[in-house]
Amino acid sequence: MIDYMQQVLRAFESCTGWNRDNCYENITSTSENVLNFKIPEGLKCQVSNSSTAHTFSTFELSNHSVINGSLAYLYSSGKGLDRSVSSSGNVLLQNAVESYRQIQPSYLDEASRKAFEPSSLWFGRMYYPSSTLEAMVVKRLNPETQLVAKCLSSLAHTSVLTLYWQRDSGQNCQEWVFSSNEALVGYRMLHNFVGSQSKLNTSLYNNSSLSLGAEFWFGLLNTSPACSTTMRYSTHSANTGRPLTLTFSWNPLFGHVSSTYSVKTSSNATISTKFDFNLYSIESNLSFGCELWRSGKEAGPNQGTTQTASRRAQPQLAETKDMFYHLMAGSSNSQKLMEDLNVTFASPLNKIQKERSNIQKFEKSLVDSNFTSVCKLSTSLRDQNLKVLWEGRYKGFLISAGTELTNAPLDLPSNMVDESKKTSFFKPAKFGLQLQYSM
Amino acid sequence: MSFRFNKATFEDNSFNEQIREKLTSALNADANTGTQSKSANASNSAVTDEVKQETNAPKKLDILKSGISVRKVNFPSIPQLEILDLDVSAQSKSLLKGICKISCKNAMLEITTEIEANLLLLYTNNGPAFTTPRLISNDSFTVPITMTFSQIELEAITNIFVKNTSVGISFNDVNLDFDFDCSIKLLQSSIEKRLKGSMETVFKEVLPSVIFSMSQRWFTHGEANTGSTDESKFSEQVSTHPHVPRTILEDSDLEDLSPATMLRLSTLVSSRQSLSLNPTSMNTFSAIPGCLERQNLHRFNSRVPALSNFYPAFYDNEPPELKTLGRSTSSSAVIGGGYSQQRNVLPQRFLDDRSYDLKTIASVQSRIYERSSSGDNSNLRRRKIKMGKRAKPIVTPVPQTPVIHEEEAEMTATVEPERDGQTETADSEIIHTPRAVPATPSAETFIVKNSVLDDAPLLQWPAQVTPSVSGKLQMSKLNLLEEAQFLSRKRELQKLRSSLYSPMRGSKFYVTREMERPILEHKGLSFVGLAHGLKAGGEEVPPPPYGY
Repeated sequence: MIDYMQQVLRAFESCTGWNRDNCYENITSTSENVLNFKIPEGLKCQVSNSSTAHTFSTFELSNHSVINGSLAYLYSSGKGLDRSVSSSGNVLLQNAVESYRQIQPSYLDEASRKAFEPSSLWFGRMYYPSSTLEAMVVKRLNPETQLVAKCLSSLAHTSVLTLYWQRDSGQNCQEWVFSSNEALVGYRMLHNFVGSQSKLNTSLYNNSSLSLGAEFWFGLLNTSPACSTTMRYSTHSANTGRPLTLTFSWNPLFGHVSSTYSVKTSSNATISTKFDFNLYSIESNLSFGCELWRSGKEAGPNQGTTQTASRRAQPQLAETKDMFYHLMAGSSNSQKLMEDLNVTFASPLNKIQKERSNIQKFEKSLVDSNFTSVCKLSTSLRDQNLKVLWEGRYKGFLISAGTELTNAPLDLPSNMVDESKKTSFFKPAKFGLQLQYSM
Repeated sequence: MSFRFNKATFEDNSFNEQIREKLTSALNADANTGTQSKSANASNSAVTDEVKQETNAPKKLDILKSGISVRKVNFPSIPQLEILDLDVSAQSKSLLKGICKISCKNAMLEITTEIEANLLLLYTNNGPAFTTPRLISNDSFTVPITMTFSQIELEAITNIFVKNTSVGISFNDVNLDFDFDCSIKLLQSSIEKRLKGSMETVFKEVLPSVIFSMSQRWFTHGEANTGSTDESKFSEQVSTHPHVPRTILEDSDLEDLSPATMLRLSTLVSSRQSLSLNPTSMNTFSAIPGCLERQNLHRFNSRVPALSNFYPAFYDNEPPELKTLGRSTSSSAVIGGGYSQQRNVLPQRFLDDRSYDLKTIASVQSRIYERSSSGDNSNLRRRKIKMGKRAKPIVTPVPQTPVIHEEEAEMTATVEPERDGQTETADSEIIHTPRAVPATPSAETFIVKNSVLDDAPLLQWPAQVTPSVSGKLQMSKLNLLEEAQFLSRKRELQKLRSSLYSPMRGSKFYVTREMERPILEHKGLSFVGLAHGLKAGGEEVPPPPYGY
């Protein structure tokens, strides 16, 4: 379940033309959302409201060990934000839940480039009774750059300031990060290979994308480095139009290799697998996760109109832009060429049409389906656990309930487990329920 | 003197196995704080634990991914415990003080564990989620690490204090040497350096405190120390001193003591204790009030005023036969039969040499008297009577003694009633008999006795003895005179001395002890600790039990 404030932040980013998926941090988020979803702990209630077009507030109460809560305020100077943020009763469940995401690089056209105006977002959250303060400032400096400052101030923990400077030119995304915690310095970059890759493809219609990214980290205080590189390939299946994503990550420092394969097999089911392998220690792990969406009965006329209205309000970038984007990047010559080719190569173009219609049909069914709940399952061979999460809407409330069952004792280190005893039964490691309501 | 460990324990592998198990459990009991176990080798591994945390984590980050397991333990040779010096009851509250040498050779120890090599993962996991950037493919990477300590040679001189409540140990001269081998060569030098560096704290602080707290539970003499308070005390101690590891040696470690051994030990202990001296007195030699331990008997006896103590060569030659004069020492009723008693007799040798000092003898005699009479007024009265009697004989005994030799037949009759009377009175007051008069000129009283008891040898005696004794008689006359003079002065002294010798005034005893010290040394007491105790702990040593 995406927090209300997170939804506002995403809405802000989409309003200002920032593609959060085009970032190395989120290069594996497709499979992570299916495999490593977060399970709420304890009981948590969240009430949120958009008081004005620019301010949003959230009140949260939870009983994690003791009753505590938080108050969050957000101010944004972005325009049209209130229209993008919808209440918990109207929001599409697909947008309110971290789920499979088909990530496509998007390019800003000249029009939106000109329409850009610098805007900023201010966010603060105060926890009590621990009186920890979280603050975040997001500044869009120009169409390509963004500056994020996150700060945490608390009595128990040392205060931490983390700065992100991000530059995203569509094809290339670079990011510098500095965190005062252990003086961590990082550099991340992501590059999208487009256009030229179509030569390799026999099909004229190409909507696949290949991305390559890398990150380098160094903790100055503890002199510990980290780095990794990841390749991602995402495409649609030509026959069925189902999207699929493959990633391959490699950590050269510790010899860690992990590959994922995620596919949306139907409009209401997603499957993701992940295989980890360590080149040095020959340790391996196999993870498996799936999402099952359940659509309710056909929406009534009233509800249907409001929902379609809200859907229309949301900018559907993918619908128009992701097809032929590599051709659109070129001039109108290609369009003319296509028309000329129509005569000579009738059958391949028919094939393109067919593929395209397949994909579009599938995406349309995805958008139009009225999902009411989603059930997520994930398990890992090495950790010997089973995670279950149910998320859905009930009378305007967004509910998220989940539990993690584990076979291993919780606190003991792994090799002591074998010595002590073999527990044959799964025990709940944690479970929780989260209620979210916003107007 | 040395202890010998039971060989059978070491010959089969059970000892190694036992050590291994105990080490493993001790190391895993609390992985965060380095734990120590009883042996020095245990401390080794505990230190490595500590070191591992130090090397890689300035903060409290646990880089140990698994428990620590002790793979191999090997003690090919039997550890040796040699007692260099042992002092029993050096001080009032302590039972034992000793210096031991512990040595252990050629031992081997191997421990393995797993550590987290991806340190950045630890930091990002510990940091607040809000401000911590997400790293891709930042999984944990555990590295198994094996550390081998071979050729461990330990040699340590320890001071051990066994007190009524606990055992204190301090390590004085520790010599520990081992070859260190780490499976990660990169870390080997730094770990080894830290190991050697922290060795000192282990022996100076950790081990003594562990043993001390453990031993507090063995001793139940201290009434206040119940088990629970001990533990709470210890936990307090732990909380106040964070570096003190929370290790308590288990009681199960003591289960190996067989009941037969314990029985033997208890009989050994009880055999050291004899009858009650003075149940109310606290200033006894023993830890148990009112009891005298047999090994302290010589000290007790050496402080009992008697002539033989001042002329100690006495019982080298003569067999114990003189029962009549043993009564002065009979005040120390504790002394069991069979053990050589203190006789208030001048050794024959000194008599022959005439090397005795009359004043010393007089002071000894008066002290015997005062000792027996202190706290009893009736005795004083009796002495007065005696003084009264003496007042006349002060002159008369001078002719009296010659009479024995010169006109034996006549004077026997005159002496006899006197003697009878005296012996009667002596018998009536057994406890308080001061032997001042009869004891000093011992040779003469022998003669008198003999002459009184059997007539036949009496006639023969003078003939043999006279020539030898007559020469002495001139001296003894003088001696008697001097003593009489001395006794007349005694009243003044008596007051002074009775106050001096009362056990309440320990500080004034210093005077007498100085007199005694050369005696003790002259006797060749080889107990270093004893002599040491006398010299150093002058104020602390309780006064001898003269209070009787």
